[in-house]
Amino acid sequence: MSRLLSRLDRSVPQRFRGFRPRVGFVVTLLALGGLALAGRAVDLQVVQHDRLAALAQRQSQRTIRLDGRRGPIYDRMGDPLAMSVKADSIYAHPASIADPAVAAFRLARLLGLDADWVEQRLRSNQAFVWIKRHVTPSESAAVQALHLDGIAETQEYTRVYPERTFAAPLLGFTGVDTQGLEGLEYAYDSYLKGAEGYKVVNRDALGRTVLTGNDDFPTGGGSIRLTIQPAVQYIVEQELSRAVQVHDAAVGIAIVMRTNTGEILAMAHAPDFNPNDYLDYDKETYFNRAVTSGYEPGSTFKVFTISAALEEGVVKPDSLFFCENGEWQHYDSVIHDTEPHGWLGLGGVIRVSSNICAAKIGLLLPAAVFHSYLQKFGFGHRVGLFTAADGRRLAGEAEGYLPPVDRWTPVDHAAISFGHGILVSPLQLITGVNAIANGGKLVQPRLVLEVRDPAGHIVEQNRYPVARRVISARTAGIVRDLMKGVVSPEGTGKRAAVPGYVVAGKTGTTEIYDLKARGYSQTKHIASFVGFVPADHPALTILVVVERPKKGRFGGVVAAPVFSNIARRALPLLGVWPSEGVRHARMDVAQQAPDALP
Amino acid sequence: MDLKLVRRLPAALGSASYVVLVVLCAVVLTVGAVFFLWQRYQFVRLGYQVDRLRTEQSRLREAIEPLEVEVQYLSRLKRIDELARTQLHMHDPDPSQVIVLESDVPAAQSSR
Repeated sequence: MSRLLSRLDRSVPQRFRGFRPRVGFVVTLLALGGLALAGRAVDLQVVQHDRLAALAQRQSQRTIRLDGRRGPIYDRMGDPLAMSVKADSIYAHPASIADPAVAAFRLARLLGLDADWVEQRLRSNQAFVWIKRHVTPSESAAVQALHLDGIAETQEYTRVYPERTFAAPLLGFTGVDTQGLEGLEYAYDSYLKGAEGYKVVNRDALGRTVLTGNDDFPTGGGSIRLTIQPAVQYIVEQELSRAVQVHDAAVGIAIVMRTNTGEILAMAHAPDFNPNDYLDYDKETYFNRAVTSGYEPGSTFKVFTISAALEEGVVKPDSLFFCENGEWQHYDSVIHDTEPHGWLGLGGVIRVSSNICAAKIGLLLPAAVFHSYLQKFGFGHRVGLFTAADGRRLAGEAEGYLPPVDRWTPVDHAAISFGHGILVSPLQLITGVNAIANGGKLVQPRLVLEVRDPAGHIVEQNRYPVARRVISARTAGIVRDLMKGVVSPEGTGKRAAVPGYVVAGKTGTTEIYDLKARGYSQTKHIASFVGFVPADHPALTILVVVERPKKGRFGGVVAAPVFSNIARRALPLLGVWPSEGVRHARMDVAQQAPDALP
Repeated sequence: MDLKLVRRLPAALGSASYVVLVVLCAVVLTVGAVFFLWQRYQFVRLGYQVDRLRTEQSRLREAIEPLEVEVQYLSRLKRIDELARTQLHMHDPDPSQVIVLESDVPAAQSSR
């Protein structure tokens, strides 16, 4: 080192010599300063690290609250049926309001509220009170223009149903805090609801936010996509609404199911309601009766009695039954037919819908055997429409009521044979008939195609349905042929016929049990029709139920025409064309032009 | 530094190269520091810009939401059906008027 310094010294010009002591002094000072800085750095970075880091974090970071946006509900095509958007909500700090009476008068006039009610809230001892939540943009702007001290707005998510009454009882609605209250909103609340979240951002000395990391904090809810086909749903709602009006009925329910997959393409109710303003409607309109209600199915149930009897071999397709000319005393009850009939074959029994002969057929089966068939067809328990991927049953599905077999009396046994003394939901009934349409295999109905998490990943998907055999394909084929007869010109369901298609179905007319009168009402009925089309290669299974029609009472008169109209309009949408009347042309895809047009 | 070379050079030339070397080092250090600060400044500036754009994006998303609701409302089948029948005087075709075009394109590709 000394050699190096002496060499450097020699190389330094003469006039700079003699500075060495001073350079050494400066170097020493700098070294001491460096040491002091290093010591301070160690003190700040190591000794006081935790305290200073926390202090810096408090000064430079800000926590932002993120509202949990409820996830959307889509139809089959991916169009939103329910979505969440931000809306202003008006609130007040009562202590800051100088003149509550004047403020209340002005707010009430703008927001359409009762002035006394608003004044009462403005005179509250609470620090914070809501005045009106989820107001329209124009209402919010008008309130802001008032410049009232102590009145302010905040933004919240609100649920919007852009298509208003469309599929409303199926979708249900949410409360003011966007919690599911009815329908799918309630059943799938755990999937759809968003969680309130927090995001930490950095800010500078001026309070401005600087670059933060992940901006997509997953506080929103998941989404669900339904099997509902909007065009079919629209047709069904239109036809059902028309029928309810024409027959002056109280309620109408219709379900359209894709036969081979069990997917529900439409589930409609009339009258319906607008879930955006559900408080303006009768609560009776809120319920998804197709899934949640139970009723006595009446004659539509006879197809299950005959299916079980054929499968067990207690009757044959050519068996004959005496229908007692319209009245039959069975133990202490008398069973009636709508019209007197004598001897009828199986086809005749189902075509004219004889209660007496259906009861006789049912009584040929041991009660336990008959009961087990009804269970296999899906009655007396939930069919699992609202079941999560992990097997959890979601709320909202009715079990119906199938009396335990050990409580069956001979009268019960006979009554159940023609659809009395039990309760089934419309969904259970169509699922059972769909099993016959499917060649004896029962397919679990599906309403939800897929569920996605907030990040858009599929968490549950409509798997290809698991089918279980209820009756043999041979028996299903025989029953299908019998059901075709119902829609023949001699059958009770002739008005369900669809030009160009072969229809198989069954009518039902049930008197409603009056709890007060302790007997069946002579004036209140449920008219229904259930069937599938085209009968030999079914594409759609359709159920129509019309409750308490004042004009007309029979299923063949009230419900069957609705079935016909729905099938006629919906089948072409699914590419199922009538066998006659419609011309077919071959299209050359390469040329994008039909080669056989007239 | 090659001290032998320095020693062989004339004194004036040696002192000049020493100064040049010091200046060069200072320039390199200064440029490095400026580059570091420039980079840091750019990072902060872009951070503000990104944040501003995110705020704008969020505002636009919120502005889009009511429009999406409106689009869905205006394109609902009930309204289209009514407009087609009342304003355009359209009606359901008679089956004899329907010509079904068939192609080899699988149905799944042509419609959902």
